[in-house]
Amino acid sequence: MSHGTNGPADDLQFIRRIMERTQARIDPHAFHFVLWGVLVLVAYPLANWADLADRPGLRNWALGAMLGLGALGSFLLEMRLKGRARIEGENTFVSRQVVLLVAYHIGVASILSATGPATGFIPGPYVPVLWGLAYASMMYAIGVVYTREYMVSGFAILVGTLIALFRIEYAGMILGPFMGIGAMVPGLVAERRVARMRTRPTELEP
Amino acid sequence: MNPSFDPILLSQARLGIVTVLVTRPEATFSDLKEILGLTQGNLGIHLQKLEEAGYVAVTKEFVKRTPRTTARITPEGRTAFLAHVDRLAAVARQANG
Repeated sequence: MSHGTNGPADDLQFIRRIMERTQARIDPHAFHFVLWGVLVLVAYPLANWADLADRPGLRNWALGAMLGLGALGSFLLEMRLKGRARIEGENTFVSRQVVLLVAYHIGVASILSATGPATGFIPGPYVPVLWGLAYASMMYAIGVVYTREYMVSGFAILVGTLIALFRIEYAGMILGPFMGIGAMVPGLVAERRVARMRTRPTELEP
Repeated sequence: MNPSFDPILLSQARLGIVTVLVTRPEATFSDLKEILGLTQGNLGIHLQKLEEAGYVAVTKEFVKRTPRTTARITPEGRTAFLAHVDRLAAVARQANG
């Protein structure tokens, strides 16, 4: 308990472990990233194919189903938690920052994808590229406040978005895998981390 | 025991509490219990000692009819923690030659 038994080096080590343990206990509710990643991975290429096949009905259905299933799934997954924390002693400060970053990026992209084509500022075929940029920026920003894999994912989505910009007719087919896998992978990593924290017994016995 | 060390922070339990509160803006009683693995009684005693020393500010409130105790570090607590870490590092360096 004191330097009589532990010594300064042990106490410094103890402080480091407590800091790491405190900072690591974050639950960013990454199941949303996994859900939306799966939906984008399927719906974007499907909508793009429907466009190329001149089947606007199928395109609208694919995008509408993606939005509907995503919103419903996110709502149900949050309802399951009923506001309860999944990790005891959770550091909610970073989780709140993640929520704000997601809300800001999705909000701005939603407004621009509605107003852009209507005003002619963003032509319709470029809307997926706009979402690619929004995802890239969002994932990178989350990586800054949370963990590095989101940063790497943001960079990968940006690369995909730039490729899509030069092959705009295949934007959905290019962006689907980049955005979908780019959201799913860090989401799954974060969910596994949260699951480990939930099952791991307390290690410190001070 | 080195007399230049802060006696309040010589207890590893209290050092742990202050470390958590330096790392994040605030922590509830149950947060601290979970992170540090302390018993309720033990944590209560150490938190009280830190509050008496002016290192920690404790607020008690009801959230949805449930009592909640939240602790925050004070400027004095932060200064004492940083000074303690400096001393620990200095002694550790001396010990390593």
